[in-house]
Amino acid sequence: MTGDTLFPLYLIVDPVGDRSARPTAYAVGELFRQCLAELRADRRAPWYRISLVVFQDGPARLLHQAAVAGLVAPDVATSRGRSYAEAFYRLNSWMTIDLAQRSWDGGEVGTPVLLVLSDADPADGDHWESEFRELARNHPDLIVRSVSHTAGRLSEGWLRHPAQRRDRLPDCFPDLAAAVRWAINGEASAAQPRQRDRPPRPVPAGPDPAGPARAEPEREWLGAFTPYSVGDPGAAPGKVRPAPDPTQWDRRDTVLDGVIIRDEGNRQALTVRAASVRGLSHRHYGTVRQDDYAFRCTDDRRYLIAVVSDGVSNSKLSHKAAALVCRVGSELVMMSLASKPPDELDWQGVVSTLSDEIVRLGHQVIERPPDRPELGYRDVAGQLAATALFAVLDLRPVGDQLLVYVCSVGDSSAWLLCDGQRWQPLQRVKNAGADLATPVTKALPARHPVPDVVRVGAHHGDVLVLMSDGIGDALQEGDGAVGRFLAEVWSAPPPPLQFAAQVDFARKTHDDDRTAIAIWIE
Amino acid sequence: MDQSGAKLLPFYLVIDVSVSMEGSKLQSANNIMPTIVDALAENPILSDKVRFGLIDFSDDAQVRLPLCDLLDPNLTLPALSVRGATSYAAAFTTLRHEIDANIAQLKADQYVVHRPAVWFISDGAPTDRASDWQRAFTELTTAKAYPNLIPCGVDQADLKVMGSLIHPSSGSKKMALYMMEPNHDPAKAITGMAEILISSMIHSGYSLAGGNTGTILPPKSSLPPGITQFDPDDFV
Repeated sequence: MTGDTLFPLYLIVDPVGDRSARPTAYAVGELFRQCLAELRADRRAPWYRISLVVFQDGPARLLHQAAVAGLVAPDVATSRGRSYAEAFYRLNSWMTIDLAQRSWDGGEVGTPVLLVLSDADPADGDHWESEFRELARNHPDLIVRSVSHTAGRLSEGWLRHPAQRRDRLPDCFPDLAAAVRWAINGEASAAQPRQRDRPPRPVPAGPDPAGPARAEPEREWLGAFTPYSVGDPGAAPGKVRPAPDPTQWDRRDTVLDGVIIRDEGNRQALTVRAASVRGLSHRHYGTVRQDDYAFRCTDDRRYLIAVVSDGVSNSKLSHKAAALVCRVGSELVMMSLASKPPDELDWQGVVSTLSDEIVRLGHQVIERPPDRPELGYRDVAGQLAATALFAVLDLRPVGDQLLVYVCSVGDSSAWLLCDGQRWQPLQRVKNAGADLATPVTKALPARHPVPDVVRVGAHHGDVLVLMSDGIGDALQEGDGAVGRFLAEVWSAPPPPLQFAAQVDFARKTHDDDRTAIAIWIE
Repeated sequence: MDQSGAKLLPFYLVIDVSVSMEGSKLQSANNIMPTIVDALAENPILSDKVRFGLIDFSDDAQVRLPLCDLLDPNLTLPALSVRGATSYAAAFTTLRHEIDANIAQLKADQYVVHRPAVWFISDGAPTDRASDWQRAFTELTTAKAYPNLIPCGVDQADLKVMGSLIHPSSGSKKMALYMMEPNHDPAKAITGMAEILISSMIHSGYSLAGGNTGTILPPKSSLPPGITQFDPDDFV
């Protein structure tokens, strides 16, 4: 039927089910079966092509531009993981590909129809609007129909195409048949292939089309963005309106980096991605990001030094402590490596010096109450404190591995992601085994800091990750959903902005600042 | 869905529904949960973490709302009604069992559970034997997962008895007692105590965001009229 015009129908069937009434997965499924029956009975039946999308831990395509003749309605189970943002994002590319495929086959395509059958609105936090706008922009003649089945009533659903004429909006349908006829009659106007206002772009080389073909839409620009979430994002991501901190206008919400590190022989040794992102909680309360990071190479390019620091305490100043640990800490380590190998690095000395420096900073920046002559150590520590996590990588391999030295004070954690799936912790896991959570975060300044030091070998393909507890708490021991998510998206270095978006993944109650430095070993 | 690692702040409201609560006091009591729901709806950072349980007590104690997410759209808030006498022993025993069971379940589901806060509201002295309720109270507060307990007394509540219920009663994390001032309207006092509860919840949530744990009580200067705060040191 190469010369005929086909009518592509994209069906999203989304039974959420109302827990208090009898299950309505049956009802939406019934609506869908009725839809198919009506389509089969329609005189244009041979020309319909149906793609069926359901939600099974995300949008899944059960039918792919299938013909209706002889089609048995697949069973549609209750939806899980219903992200309309992701569904519209996928539909955008599916529809473009289907259209290109059809054009390549030398056929014509009538106006596409998107039909959504559901018994619930999209979940809070589902940012579907921008993806839908993208979809509508790429397929400007798309007809959108949405039927809702709520509380036993059928009516026009939540999805409306803003550009579509709204002269026949039904309040509610008398019955299923009426709902379905209204839905599929959306494309009745497309009995002929539509004439386009602008000249169609030539179809890529193939058999001559029988008539004016529906041209592939011109793309002036590409791109899309969907925020990440792992498991239940909770209500907070959708509801928080980020506020600035009016006492610290110049402290950035998010910082990020992405570089390739070459070794002494100018070979590509490491790929680095780093991001520090303000958490939802600080965004809501209008306080600054309290995490920080730094990295640098020694002048001889023999070593890479990386630092992560998490400002603790309720004060508005602990971000200064974190910044100090990163900046001064990496300088101290670099100076030491100029004369001594990392095996002989005096970590105790480094953290003690950092402690003293934080106290000195405290004397400068903390407002001294008039009745106190001098701020004590404890006074400073109560307002300016931060964790310290260092890694030193020796870029000169020993056998088939690179030596990594890790030094830690506090609950920022270092990990080695091995074989793309196994998270090996390089320190003790916080709160493991305890009944109730207790805040035993150690931090600098401390009178007698005792750093936790380990040395480990990293192989080609491993990823060394330093992170603050904003991610560490969600990662836990590395064998849960977050561990699987990060292992997958970090199987190869993503573009730096995407890395930052991944660090900012939404997950219910995990609203602390997030910082990560990920180092891929070549 | 895998919730592992999610942080949880459990709150329990334990409320006296003895016969003397009938009338405007009960009405105020019934208004507490909807007011908390409203406060949570405005604070998305907090609401994702808070779980609320409601226990009422008279001759016996009943769990009217098991620990749950108050913003769950399918939730129906229970309506309280009065029953009989005032057994503190029943309240503390049921509370202890609830807390133990809830924390065990949450730990099994891999939540990170912070110490529960209990707001205990009574309008009169206990009618059971002192040795009985004191033993039940000790069992509650010496358990490993003991709660922070903030007693609130209105009307005929006994000041000394209520004062003995503050837990912890010493140290940096000690709690306090809120008592209605004499001759004040008890119904209004109950509403005031709900405001203190909500303020404490919001402060604790904010403090948790800063890395500190524990139940934060609002400053004395911000208490609603008709309510006095008593600290453990006030009872020698």
